Amino acid sequence: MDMCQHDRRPGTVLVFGYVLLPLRLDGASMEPTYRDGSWTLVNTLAFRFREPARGDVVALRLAGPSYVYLKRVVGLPGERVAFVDGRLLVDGRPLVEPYVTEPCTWNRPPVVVGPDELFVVGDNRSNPLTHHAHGCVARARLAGGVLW
Amino acid sequence: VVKPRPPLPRPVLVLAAAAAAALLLWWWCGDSDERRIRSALDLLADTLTKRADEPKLAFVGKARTLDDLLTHDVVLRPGEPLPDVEGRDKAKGLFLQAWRYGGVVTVRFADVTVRVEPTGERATSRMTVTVTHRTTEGDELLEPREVVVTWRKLDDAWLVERAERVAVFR
Repeated sequence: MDMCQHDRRPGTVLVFGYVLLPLRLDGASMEPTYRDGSWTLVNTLAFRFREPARGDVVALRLAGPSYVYLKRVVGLPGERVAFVDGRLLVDGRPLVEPYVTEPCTWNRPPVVVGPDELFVVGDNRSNPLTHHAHGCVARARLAGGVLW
Repeated sequence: VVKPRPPLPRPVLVLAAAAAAALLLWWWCGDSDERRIRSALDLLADTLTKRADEPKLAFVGKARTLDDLLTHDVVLRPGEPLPDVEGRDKAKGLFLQAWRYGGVVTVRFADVTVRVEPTGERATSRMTVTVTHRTTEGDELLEPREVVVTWRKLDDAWLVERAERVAVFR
């Protein structure tokens, strides 16, 4: 599981509620970059003035900002993304991913990222593919980018 | 020379304060459809929550509460690995089976939005559903899910007609 919970204590809501969202990570899907139980801050204005780029770690909202997914952008609109024997291919070329430390054997047929979508995945690929939330996600779900 | 602005006449201030108080009172005590749906959601979350050592009899009583919250032909599609459920009786049966599981199970609905159709007979709400399982080893937050709930008004009561998980990734 790879969810993050927005800290809703009154003080943090007042100070951080709108621009910086304090998040506590719950799950290991972004390890080793982000450890289970660690904290980070999400800048909700990160993509107000620029588009998300490959490699950005982004927060993706569910029904609201209380619970978000933390994932890495690996595919941009129009690109063709696939996993072949654990290697991530973007438009047929393997992507260099220094943040991935555990080898995996994932296979996933190619998918074309839609014009208003991003392809996101966690850094920890040690789980089976079916247990890892990933894929094309609507850009409208972007809640922001992590500060560190 | 800037003249100081004359203060607002007292009756205007009193009227404004009274209007604000009335608005606040209406907001707190009003019986709007949205408010009733939110109350039904609170009751639903409370019903689905399993407390420590809750006796089976209490669980049976809570299952009866579902009669007041679900339509007889309710459709529930919570997403894998949970099964789809069609019909209130099946939903109640599944709920009663949950009594056997140990520990405390807490259900919460976060980021709830409610939209009532202009006819006032149907409504849709969207929320993040969280389930926390507390055992002797600690709390485990099961994967939160975004869910869309469709409501139907029957005999002046709002009942869940359909609840379906929203896919975030494709």
